Amino acid sequence: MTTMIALFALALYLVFYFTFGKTLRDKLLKSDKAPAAPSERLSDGVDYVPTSKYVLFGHHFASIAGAGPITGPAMAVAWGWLPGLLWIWFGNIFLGAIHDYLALAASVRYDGRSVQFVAQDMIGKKAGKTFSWFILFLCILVVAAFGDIVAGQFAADGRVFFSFVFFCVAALIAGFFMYKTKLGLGGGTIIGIALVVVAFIAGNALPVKWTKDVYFLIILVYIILASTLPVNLLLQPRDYLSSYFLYFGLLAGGVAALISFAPLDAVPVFTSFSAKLIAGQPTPLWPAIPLIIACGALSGFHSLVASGTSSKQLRKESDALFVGYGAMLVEGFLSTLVIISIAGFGGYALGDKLMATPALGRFVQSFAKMVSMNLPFLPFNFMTLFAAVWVSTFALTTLDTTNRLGRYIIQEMALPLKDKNAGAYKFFGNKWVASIVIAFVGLFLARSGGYSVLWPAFSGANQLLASVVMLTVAVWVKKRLDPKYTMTVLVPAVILWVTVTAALVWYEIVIVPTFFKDMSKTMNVITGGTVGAINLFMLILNFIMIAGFLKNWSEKKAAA
Amino acid sequence: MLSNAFFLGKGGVGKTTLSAAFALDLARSGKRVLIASLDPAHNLGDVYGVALGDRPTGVERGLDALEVDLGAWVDRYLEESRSELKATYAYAGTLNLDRFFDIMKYSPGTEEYAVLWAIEHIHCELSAEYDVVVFDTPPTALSLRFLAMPAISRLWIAELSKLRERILEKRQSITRINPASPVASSCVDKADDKVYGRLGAIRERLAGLQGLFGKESYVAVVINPDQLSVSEALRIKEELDRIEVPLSGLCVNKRGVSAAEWSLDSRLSETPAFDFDFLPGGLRDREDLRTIDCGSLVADFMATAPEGTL
Amino acid sequence: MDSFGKGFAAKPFLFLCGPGGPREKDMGGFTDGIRAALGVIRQVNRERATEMIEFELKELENIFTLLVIGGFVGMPAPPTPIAIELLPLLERELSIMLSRSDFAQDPLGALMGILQVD
Repeated sequence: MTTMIALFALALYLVFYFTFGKTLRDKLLKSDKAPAAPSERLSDGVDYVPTSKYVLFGHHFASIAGAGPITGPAMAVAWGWLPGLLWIWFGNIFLGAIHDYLALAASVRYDGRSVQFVAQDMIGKKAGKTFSWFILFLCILVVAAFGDIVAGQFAADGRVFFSFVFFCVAALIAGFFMYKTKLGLGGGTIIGIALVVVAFIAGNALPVKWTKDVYFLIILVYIILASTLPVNLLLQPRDYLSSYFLYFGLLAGGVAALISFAPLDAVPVFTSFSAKLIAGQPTPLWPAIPLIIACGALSGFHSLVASGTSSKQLRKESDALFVGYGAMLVEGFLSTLVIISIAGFGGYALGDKLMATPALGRFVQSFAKMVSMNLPFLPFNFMTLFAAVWVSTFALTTLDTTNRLGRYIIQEMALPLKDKNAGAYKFFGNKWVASIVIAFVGLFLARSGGYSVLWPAFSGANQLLASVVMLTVAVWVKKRLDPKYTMTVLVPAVILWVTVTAALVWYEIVIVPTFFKDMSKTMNVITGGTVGAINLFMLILNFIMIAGFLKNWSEKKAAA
Repeated sequence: MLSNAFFLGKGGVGKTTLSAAFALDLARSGKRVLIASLDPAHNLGDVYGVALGDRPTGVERGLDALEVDLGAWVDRYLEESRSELKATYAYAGTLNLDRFFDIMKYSPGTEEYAVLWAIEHIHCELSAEYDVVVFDTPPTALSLRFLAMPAISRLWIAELSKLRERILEKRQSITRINPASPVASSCVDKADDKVYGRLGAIRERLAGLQGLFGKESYVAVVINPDQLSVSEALRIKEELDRIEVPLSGLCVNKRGVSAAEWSLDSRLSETPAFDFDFLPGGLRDREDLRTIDCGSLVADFMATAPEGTL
Repeated sequence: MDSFGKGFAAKPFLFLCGPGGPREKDMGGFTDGIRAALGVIRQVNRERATEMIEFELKELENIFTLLVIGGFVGMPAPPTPIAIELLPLLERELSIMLSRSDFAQDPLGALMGILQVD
């Protein structure tokens, strides 16, 4: 069964890539008749550098893959394995991959401008502003969600912490050899991977038993310090080495899934429409599914990543299909593997305790079981450590970089204060203040909220961003491309917007109040207040944005 | 004995006269002297009664003089850069470049640099023939600026060089790992990097001049016996201290021109002071210069030694 | 060999192998394919190992250029003559500076890509 599902996923994605994807390329975008890509027209040897689509694909895929496509599906099995799978498949094909693909294409047509710029052009200045606010909240919520995930990982498996620490040391050393000596990439990589193996062995031998609170503190210090280091010291080499985790995980998991032939019986096909998923509340499958599965099906982040460097490097517009649409489908495959491993092997790994284990623990154990049972030369103990370190590494890198990004966003947004309130501007513009605000607020929320509550908030913000992008693309298709095909994009965009808005309203009405159940627990009250306020603010921005959208939609086709 | 002497001071205090008298004295005592006027006012020729140009003109035995044409030096300096730019950006329609460079003439720093390169030219090309080069400087403001130029620029150049090194290092790092990177085409060794080389060349020139001012020059400030002049001298001393150029002597000129009270500030007491009386008859020709008694000044000058020797 | 058991990576191989086993010409095309694939993987790795540093380098070069010729736009700068002397040698740096000033208007996307936020 597991093999069937894996093969079916592959086949499904391939079929839709070659039919639906190509139709979009040839009929909607008419890429063969499109003007030359900016990498050729504006080639400057700096950012606009034509690059092979295979290299760009690998690059783009590595950028969008992270801890996201793993966490969401692991949580979603609470509804049974089928609903999550269907969303990963069809949500990806009709929403996520199109979103990535068309955002990339639009950016290419806009000379490599980011999708935020396109949104401002298509929907109005306010849309651009909402981007900044969404990103800011996303930064805080990402810290909250991932912070709890990592702390949870550390607390659940005492070996992970020191494995990660030694991994950082390995990265530092490998970085030194790669960048400062003549050893170059090959030598540095070999040293790096050797040291990583040593790190795993050492971490395995040094389990620690600390409380989650201790880990929260460590993570707080880590975030603030790491984000002030120069990138070539730790971030770059560690990011490079962790891409090998991704390759290995995808390869081992993919092969194991394809040869496993196990029944999917650890989790029912479908449990109930309103399984108790978030904060112990009955969570309706619709509209809440986007709050659980974000990356893997649809992610607003990807449009920004695509319109960042990828669009400036595409050799020709028709490559966007492979890079944008293709990379997202592969990420969908990764998420498929997550569900397969839990549904097929969760029983072997955790038995009855499967649904009681936190989502990520579910994944780590099941994935390790799947690989070790089908590829016996990879032992179970090693695979659990590997999977845990894999997810933690990606999450911790995100924590570091989100802090850097958030600092920039805060400074940008504080700019208007310069004239009105110089003191406030100086305060928020200070990089330490910005750094601490994001890290502290994020981890505070993590500690009292827990990621089962915070992940949906993060996911919701992410999906809202995606729906802004989808609506932007719909306007773009109507005004700049062929109005005949508007519905192809508009219909999914509207469905998405309605779903996400409904989901966030549901979240505000049902989940946020749970924080206030016991008014004496001040931490919870504060967390609830903060999360509720953020959510509400995003909803308001959402409605302002939709008003702008409707206004721009009904205007006559603008002069090109 | 030091090989250079600079006479600083406000306009009108008698720099040109004193420096001319000093040079004449030195020449008549047997030294080979070149006196160069950097002052755009160009009174030196009038004082000596000889028409002076850009090249050394003989005034009498052992004494040559020249008046630096700053305008020509500015042009010469800019022309080098202008032709290099023209060659590099020839395709970019440099028709307007000349007009642009005309404006550059007046930009801060150009005049000072012209003076520096003129001094450097004299030092490198001409000074071998002489025992002493005497400089009559422009009014204080410009003089302090050009004297400070090497010290100020040094910091910029040092930091720019360091940054350039970091850039080159990173380019090499990246190219080593990823030869297909667009950075690869501009990746060169430090020794081959034109910018780094140019920065180094500039640094050396400025270091040479800094050495010239700081260690091989007798710097005399000419003042008049009034409080304003003394304040000015104090200001100059502070500035010279800041750029590490020693003040060697104070020439109090036109003593007796007025009966007003004045006194030398205590902070100037360490500097040897030399008095020069006011000549009611004025100066009409070269021989009148002999009436200015430079004896003690010349003696003090000849007693100096270049730093590091005794 | 059970074709299902070979997995995703082997699919191109299956296409190339006819029922009579791999032919000499197909093997050549196949190894070329592998070589190309390895080349791509190697290039992806190289870029992954240097992208943040490259980004940092562009910024350093931008700063360097601003420091040298900032005088032309009113910023504190080394004496203009030094700037003029260096100007003809800064061709690449100038194009980077222009590229960065464009970039600074709309950096969000590129930042998110480089910073691996996801």
